[in-house]
Amino acid sequence: MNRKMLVLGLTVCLWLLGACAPAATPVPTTVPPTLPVTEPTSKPPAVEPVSISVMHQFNDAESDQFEGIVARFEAENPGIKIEVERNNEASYYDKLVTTILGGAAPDIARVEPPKAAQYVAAGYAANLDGYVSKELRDQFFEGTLEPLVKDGSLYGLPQDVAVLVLFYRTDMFEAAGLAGPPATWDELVSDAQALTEDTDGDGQADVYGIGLFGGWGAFEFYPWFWQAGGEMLKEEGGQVIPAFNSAEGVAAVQFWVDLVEKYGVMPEGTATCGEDEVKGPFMAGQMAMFTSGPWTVASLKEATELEGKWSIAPLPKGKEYASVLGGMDLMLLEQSEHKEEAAKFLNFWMEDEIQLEWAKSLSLLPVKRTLYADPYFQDDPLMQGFSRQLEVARSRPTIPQAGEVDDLFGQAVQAALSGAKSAQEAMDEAAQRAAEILASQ
Amino acid sequence: MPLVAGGRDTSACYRRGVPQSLSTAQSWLRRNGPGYLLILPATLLLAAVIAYPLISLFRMSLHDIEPLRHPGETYCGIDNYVRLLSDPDLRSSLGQTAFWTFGSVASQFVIGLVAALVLNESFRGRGLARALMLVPWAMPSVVGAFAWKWMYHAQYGLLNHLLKTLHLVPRNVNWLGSPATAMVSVVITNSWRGFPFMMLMLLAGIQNIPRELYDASAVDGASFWQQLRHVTLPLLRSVVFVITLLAAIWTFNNFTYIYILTGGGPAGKTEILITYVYKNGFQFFHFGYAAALSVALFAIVVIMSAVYIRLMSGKGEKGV
Repeated sequence: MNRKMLVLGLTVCLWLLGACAPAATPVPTTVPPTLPVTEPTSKPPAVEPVSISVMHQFNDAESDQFEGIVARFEAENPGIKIEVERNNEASYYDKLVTTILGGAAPDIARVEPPKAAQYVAAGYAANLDGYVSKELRDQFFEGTLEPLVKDGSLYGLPQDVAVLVLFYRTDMFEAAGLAGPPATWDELVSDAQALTEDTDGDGQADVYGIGLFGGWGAFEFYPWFWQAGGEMLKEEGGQVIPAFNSAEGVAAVQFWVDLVEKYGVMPEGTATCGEDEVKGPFMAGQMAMFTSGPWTVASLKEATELEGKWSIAPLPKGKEYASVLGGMDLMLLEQSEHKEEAAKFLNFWMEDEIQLEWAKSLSLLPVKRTLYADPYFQDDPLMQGFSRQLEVARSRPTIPQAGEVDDLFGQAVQAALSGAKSAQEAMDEAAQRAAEILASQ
Repeated sequence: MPLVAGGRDTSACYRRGVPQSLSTAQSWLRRNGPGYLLILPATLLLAAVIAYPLISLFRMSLHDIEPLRHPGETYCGIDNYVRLLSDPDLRSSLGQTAFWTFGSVASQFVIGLVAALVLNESFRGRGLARALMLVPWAMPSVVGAFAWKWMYHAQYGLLNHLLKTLHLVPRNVNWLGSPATAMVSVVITNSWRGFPFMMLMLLAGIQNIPRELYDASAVDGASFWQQLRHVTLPLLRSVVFVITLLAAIWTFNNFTYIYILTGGGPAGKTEILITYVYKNGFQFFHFGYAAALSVALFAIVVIMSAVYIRLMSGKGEKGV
């Protein structure tokens, strides 16, 4: 009996040790990469190379390109070693926040603009005023700097700029006898009605005019909200209060609801959809319009059967023209012990030559205003379309509580679009909650 | 010297079973020492990966940690817990969590039991059927969730296509985008994923039931249902207990499917406790409050398990 217990116990111990082993392996594996690096730098190793860690969530193509940038920088700066940590989008921010809270933050992190504003407000980002020249700062779009500036100081650099435009199927427009993409909300409705079709006669449309969705929070909705003349926040008596439940704001939500219920030109059920669920039908010719950004261009170009069948256009005008800024920012974290070296890498990364190559090879928008004069972009109609839309693009709220306000705003759109609440009701409730959050600061 | 000699002596004496005049502490150590030594690595490991985070979580829950409002942390007593009691979002997500957990576990169990009973019968292709039934469990959850997301698609999804072809629904059902069906839809998907585990465990349990019991009850004229009720289920009790408890805890803490299928929407209708904690901590940076919520979550799981264990053991005494 005792021996049995002993064997059992030992087995359990071994198993537990086995379970520990995978967790322990990363430690030895991190050692080899640093060793070969110290040796090849055969010059007198007066100083040990400084190691800069960069955390990112680039996709495959971007990641490859980025590795090239890192290699070039390391070749030019033998004293600095860049340690790249690539993550998948889904768990990226959890990991980043956890490392920051645990005091093990990377030196540089790539985050989306609303998060950047949040991290700046929380004091996680380092002030870059001493590291970034005024010339460089002035080369970016004003809107993209908004989340990164606090009290006049710069706390990050835009790495990627994106903007929502209208993607439309030129072949479907032609077949419906439409001359071109809609320029106004009214034209959008009439065009969409002409494009919507019930092919099997069951009383429900099979081809839809447009697909807008609520699964990305309010991101897709902002342009329409601003086009209607809505404002997110306003200042009253020195206090920031929500303003999105204004008549204009409610009208914008109602417009989305009407597209589904009144005009029947947009499918039901998009309240929780993501982009793939409208992009799929768009590519299959079951949806004539959707809104997206530069990130979609590469995949549409890859689909050779769609060649010459799609294009982009500025978003239609409601009361005014508007779109929403997307993109990505780079932050140098306050915890970094090598800010000087990390900033050197950031400055290198932002050099014209590197940025041009990045944008060209990945079909992305140049992040610096000054690069649009390059002939490559001058001759590309898509690039010109995006850059025109950029001129009327606005930044989402960048106050410290933006995350929560944005979440409430997105939920209001979902509630109205899914029929859970009326547009007015949904916006009023969200605004009231937002007011409480802003007041409790 | 005496220690060494004593040690040698005692081990020798112990083997002969002769009690020695040692202090009680020493004899306790001698009797239990090896046992404690053996569980020491596991205990240390658990302490490092469970106890330490738990304690630090509890400490955080008593602090006001709001980096977006002020730097640093200040002790705030039970303020976070007071806030928890009056949080309307928490209340709605509690109800949804209960539906999500019990709905998923109940349907996983029922489907799993039916599948186990069917697969226990011998028929041609049983081996293949058994293997196929395990596919949902073996499939990576993200892949499974995306497949379901497309099946649920209101206009182009397989599910609506099937239902309309069979004339079961007059028009497309807006599965994930409507507040009425979103939660049911995610529960269905979760049941699909979780039932193979139940099936496998129940099948193993059923095969352990002696054949004679069925023969004897058949002689007594018991029908299939009576056999199920009075032979199969009572003898499966311990299996049922373990798997439903495990499934409940897993489901309670699992939001992969919800996250992919609906992201908590529409308008928070599929939000559960764990997503709510996540949002408060990682998205809104209310770290103190999120810690308090986590402690509450932990307490719920502990209480749930305790009540459940109590219930099952009580039943056991009556039943046997």
